Amino acid sequence: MPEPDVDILLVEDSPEDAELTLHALRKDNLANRIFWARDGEEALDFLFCRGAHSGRSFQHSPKVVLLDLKLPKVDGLEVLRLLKSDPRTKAIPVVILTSSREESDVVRGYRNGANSFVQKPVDFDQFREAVRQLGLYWLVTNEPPREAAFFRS
Amino acid sequence: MKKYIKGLVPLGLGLSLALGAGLALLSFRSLAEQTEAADWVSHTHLVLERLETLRAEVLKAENARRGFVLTADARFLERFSAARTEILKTAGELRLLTADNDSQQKRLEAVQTLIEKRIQMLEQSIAGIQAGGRISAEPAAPTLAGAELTAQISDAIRAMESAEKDLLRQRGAALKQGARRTQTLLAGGTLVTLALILGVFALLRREIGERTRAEEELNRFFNVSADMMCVAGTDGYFKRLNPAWQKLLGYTVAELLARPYLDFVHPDDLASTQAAAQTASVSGLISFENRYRTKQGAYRWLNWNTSPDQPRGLLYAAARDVTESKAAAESLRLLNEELQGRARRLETANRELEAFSSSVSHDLRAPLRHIDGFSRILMEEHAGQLSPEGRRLLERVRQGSQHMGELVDDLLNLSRVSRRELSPLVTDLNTVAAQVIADLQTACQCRRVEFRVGRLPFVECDPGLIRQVFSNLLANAVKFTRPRDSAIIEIGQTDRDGHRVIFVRDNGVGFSMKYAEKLFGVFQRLHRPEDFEGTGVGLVTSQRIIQKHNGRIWAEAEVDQGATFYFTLEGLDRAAPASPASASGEAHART
Repeated sequence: MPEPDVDILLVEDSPEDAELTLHALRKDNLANRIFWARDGEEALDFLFCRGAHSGRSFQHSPKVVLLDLKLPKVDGLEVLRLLKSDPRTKAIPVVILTSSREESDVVRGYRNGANSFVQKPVDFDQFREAVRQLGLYWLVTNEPPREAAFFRS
Repeated sequence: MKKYIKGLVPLGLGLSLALGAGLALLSFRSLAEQTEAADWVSHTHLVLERLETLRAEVLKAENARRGFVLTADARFLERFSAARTEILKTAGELRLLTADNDSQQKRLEAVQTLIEKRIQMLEQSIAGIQAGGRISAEPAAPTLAGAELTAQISDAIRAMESAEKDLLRQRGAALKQGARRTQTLLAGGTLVTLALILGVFALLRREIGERTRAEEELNRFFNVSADMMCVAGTDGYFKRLNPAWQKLLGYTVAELLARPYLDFVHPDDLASTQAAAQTASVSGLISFENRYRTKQGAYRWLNWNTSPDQPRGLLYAAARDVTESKAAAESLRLLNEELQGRARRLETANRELEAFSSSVSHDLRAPLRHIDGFSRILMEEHAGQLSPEGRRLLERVRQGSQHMGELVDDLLNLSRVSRRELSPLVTDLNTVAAQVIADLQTACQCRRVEFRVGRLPFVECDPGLIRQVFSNLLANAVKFTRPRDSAIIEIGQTDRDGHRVIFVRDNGVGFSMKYAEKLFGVFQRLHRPEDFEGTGVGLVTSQRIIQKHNGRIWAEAEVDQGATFYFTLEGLDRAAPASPASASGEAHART
């Protein structure tokens, strides 16, 4: 059974954070096509179209992945590394969205190919604003490569 | 000098020996000459005697003829004949005697010719008488011709005699001269030889003196040395020991000499000592260590250096007591080990701290965000269902969570600052201050705050961290001048106790110096939160940063009279006096 297209893959283990993020996105009507993966393994299954997501196709990759770093099973940096080292998923933009502001996390994130690093502010207003801007930028402003063109080259 | 002397001694000895030999040779030759001279004298006498005989025999022959002429006695003929034979014989002898002298031979020939003529004359006279009795022409007296001939013979013989005597005289003179020369040479040679021998003797005496002195010197060293020195035999016994042994080990030298030296060695070191002695007796040994027992039964570590005398089966060795330095090295090693252990533990602690703060950052902030987020949603989407009191309480919940968020952020910043390695750069503090002031001005637009910025220097420091210090001190100044209608904040540099310091002065509420110590404690606050917000972490962070720059930070204040914060930085004393950017004068900023 083919799955519906997804714009945003949210990788987040905390249901509270997930709910707040979804709430923020929904406010700007950006949350319609979101898939929420609760751990790294599920995210990888989704992205690599395997396991429960074997029905998906690489042709319909998400427009952006919002990735938390501290995740059960496979942690965020590992997900990032696998994603960015595979030509089929390499082009998918990844935004690290995390509570951590540790310099080492930032450095490792960018070293593994993250496209952006955003710390979740404690203040909900700021948080909401950050999520809104991310959604607008990656879903509206950013121009992704067309899959066919990307794979050809 | 010594080498020079050493060369002189054999040279002097060799010379005097050569001279002695020369003198002996000279004496020998002189003696030979004397003997030869004596031979020559007797030779001359012989020649003279033979010449005399010749003359006598010629006379005898003449007398015999005369006798015969006068008496016609046949016995005179016999005498004549005998004289003639004697003449021939003597002439032959003379020929032999003067064989080495050509002129004498010639003279002898002349003599002989004359004699033969005379004899012929005499024989003719005799023969005439025998044949015809008396011949008047030949009287008994010699004829004129005969007498002349005899005179000639006599002259010729005298010539030979005088030639021979001359020869003798010449030889005597030459001999005398030679003898005188020889005497002079002998005397001179003897004197020189004596002088040489004396010189060599003096040199040797000096050399021996020096050697004695050197030996004495070595002996003194041997006796005063703090190191133990010994001569050991391959038989396992000490042969000679210096007093240091007694001083360090407590035994008398006699006690040490009486037993094999292995008796004093630590049982565990016996094998290695034996092996070392074996090696040492062939080649030198450096830095061998073993333990010797003292008389009190303790052990001392000795460090040995040796030099072998193989032909005589002796070992020269010096030992140093290294017990203390070994102990020191050991304790140093232990200390080092402990230090390394501590460093490792510290590293682990640091890593744990990092992990802890990372997890604080991640785990503590998340629930805060949730509290804030959900209460905000509640407020926005369900405010209608809440009473005003309910809304107020909800607002307090949000404030609490936000404050805690700030606390967590500040604490994390403090821990990050503490762990951070400095990246020093030459920094223009004027620029740093100006940027911080610009940020603050946007934040407090509604207030009247006057910033008076003096000239600040260029300093080598971590600009990011120093910016935090300025930011914190200036934000504090802005905060605590809030009750003032006209806030004045001064920034500048001055000298304190011979050091250059940066200061930030405000005309705010100040504080009592009683509590000055608490200023730099974590979470310590001198004001009530409802008056002045804050986490109490900012000044600690500033202090940590200043300390990382090997500086000091302190404050002077009075209640209601404002406060001044001072800090020093390591690079400040050698910094350029002021940046050119602000050289034109003080920069004023007013909000």
